[in-house]
This record gives sequence, C-alpha cells and structure tokens, in this order.
Amino acid sequence: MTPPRDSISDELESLVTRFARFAGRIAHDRGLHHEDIDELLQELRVRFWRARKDGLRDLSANYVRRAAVSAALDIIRRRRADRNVSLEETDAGARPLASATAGPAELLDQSELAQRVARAVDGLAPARRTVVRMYLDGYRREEIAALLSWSDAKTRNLLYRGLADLRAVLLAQGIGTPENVQ
Amino acid sequence: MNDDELRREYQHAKKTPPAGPHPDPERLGELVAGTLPESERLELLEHVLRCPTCGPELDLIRAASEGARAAERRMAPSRWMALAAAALILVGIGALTLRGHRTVVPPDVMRGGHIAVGVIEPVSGSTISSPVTLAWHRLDGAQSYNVELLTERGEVIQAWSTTDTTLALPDSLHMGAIRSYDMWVRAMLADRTEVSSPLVRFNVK
Repeated sequence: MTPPRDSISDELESLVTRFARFAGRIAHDRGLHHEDIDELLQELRVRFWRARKDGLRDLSANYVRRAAVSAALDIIRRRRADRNVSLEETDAGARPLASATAGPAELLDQSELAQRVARAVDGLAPARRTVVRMYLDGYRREEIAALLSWSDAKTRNLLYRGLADLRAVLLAQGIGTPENVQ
Repeated sequence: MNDDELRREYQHAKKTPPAGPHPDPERLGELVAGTLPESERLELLEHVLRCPTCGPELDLIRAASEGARAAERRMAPSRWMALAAAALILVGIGALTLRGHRTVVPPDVMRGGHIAVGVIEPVSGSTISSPVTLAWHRLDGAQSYNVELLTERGEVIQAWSTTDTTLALPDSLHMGAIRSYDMWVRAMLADRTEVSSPLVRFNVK
C-alpha cells in the first residue's frame, strides 16, 4: 500500500521529516541511539492513526507536541518495565535508552582527577551546581536556560559564578592555576 | 583548567544512580514543559544529571518536544489544521505499511521521492563566506517560492517570497553572527499547494 501522493502529503512528509531532523539533532548531540528516535517516530505515527480512527478532528499544533511527548513517555515506561523484568529473570538487564556506559573512555578506569572534579561539583551551591553540571555534561547554554526556565542573563551569571567556585575549590586542592580562577 | 578540560574530566567520571527511586517519567515531562517550581526543577535535575538512565530519558523527551516545536514552527497557523487532518490519513497509512520495519531518518537525510525543489546553493554541510546567495532549481508550475532562513533550532530568522530562483541575503542579517543556519524553499503552485526542498544546513565563516 502506498500513501496518497499530493501536495498536502508532500508538505506533510516534509513536516514529519522536520520533526525527525530536529529530534534527531538533539539525539545526536546527546548521544542517544538513532533507534530511539526511530521508535519515537513510529509511536507518533501510530498515535496519529489511532486519533484518525477515533474520529478526532480537532488536531492542533499543541496536540502534536503533547502526542510527541506522551510517545516519549510511553517508550520510557516500556524500557523501564523491560529492564525490571530482565533484571529479575536473567540479571542481564534490558538496554537503557542510551549507551551511557559504552564509550571507549568508559572502558578505562576513571582517573583520579575526574573523580576530584566530580566531587568538587557535588559540593557547589545548589543552583550553581545544576547549571555547572549541565554545562560540563555538554548542554548548550540556551538548552540550560530552557530547562531551568531562566533568562539567558541569569543562566550566564550563575554559570560564570559556578565555574569560578569550582575552579577555586580545585585550586585549593592544587589542581589548576590561579589565572583560571576569576 | 579551561572549560574543555573541566568538561572532559567531568564526563570521564562514572555516573552512578543517586540514592532513592528514579523520578516518574511524567515528572521528567513536567520538567521539559517547564511547569515545575524552581526548587523541584533543581532537585529533579540533581538526580537526572547524575543518573546514567534518567539522563537519556530526559533527552528523549526533549527531543520529542523540540522536534514537535520545530515542525510546528514550519507551519503557518491557518494551514496547520488542514494539514494536521491530512496528517492523520497520511501517517496512518504510513504506520500500517511501515509497521515492523525500522525507518531511521538520519538528521541530515531526507526521505526520497516526496521532495521536488532541489537546492543548488548552499551545499548541505558546507561552510561559505558572506555575502550569502541562495539558489535552487526552477520547478515547473511554480508561481513563486517562499524561502526561509532558520536557526539550527528551527526558529525562523527571516522569510521571503520571490518569483526568482536565487536570493541574495541582505547585509542587514549579519550572516555569520551565528555559526549554523538552515534554509529551505517552498514552491507555491497554481492550485495553492506547496512543494518543499529539504532542510539545508550550512555554516557561515
């Protein structure tokens, strides 16, 4: 069976592709598997199809966003349930969402320096600690601001202060040089 | 230590799940939606950012939310309802035919067959100098072309309508102020339908 070809379906296909592209970009930036975004797309398509079957006509942009997020939540619930079953049955565990421990660096023992940096971050004041964690974890500043519902100025300010605190703590342990500490 | 060195060491430290239960997926959804008070956001993020399983879960929800938001930005409000209704039919059939198969769409690859406007310049993935000129292949039956320049997050920087197949971007845009841009062209046909080009990502020196 082939989907009907007309200009609406062409534009719609570009819309779906755009969803895939932007969702895929975040997945790529954050090291998620392509299969996870693929599963998300499939979930979304199935939801649209069900909505059609149920006669839903009032489909808004807001609906699409809610459908996409609820599709992601369903995938997460399923993975968690699978993981629990696998752990009970075989001790092997189902694959989590991303290969959080699969990188080559993870195969090496974490260095003492890495542990000391992590512990120094643990000791920062709460708001600064969160923004520093996100920054060091590879989130972009606008992503941090969006997740924390902060202005860019507030994010920048707390990040700047948090990093300065972190460097001061590390310097007190003999790590780093004074010129990096503001 | 500079930022890159700090980042490298921090990411090298092994993440271990913090004590206590993992937050419910719904709470992660609320975090992305921005509906939690600040104290809860910080508390939740403290777990998520330290947890090797919750972190990727948060990112999947973000990907879903941002993907939908970007797709929505593409649509003029008046067109959305009609297209959304058509979406039910199209992707419904697609779900039937594709069920059981993997349909991975890499971020930079469009599915073939449905895109009729070919972009000539810029080449996807290229780095070009300012001033920037966009060019695309003429499409039979096209009455005009709508061109959109976007940030990499899908925010429309500026849109133009032209009957030409090239467009020189004005200096006032200060191209190069941000590094990466997306552009695409939609051909407007006589029957008021549209045909799109793929999204083209390019960098400006």
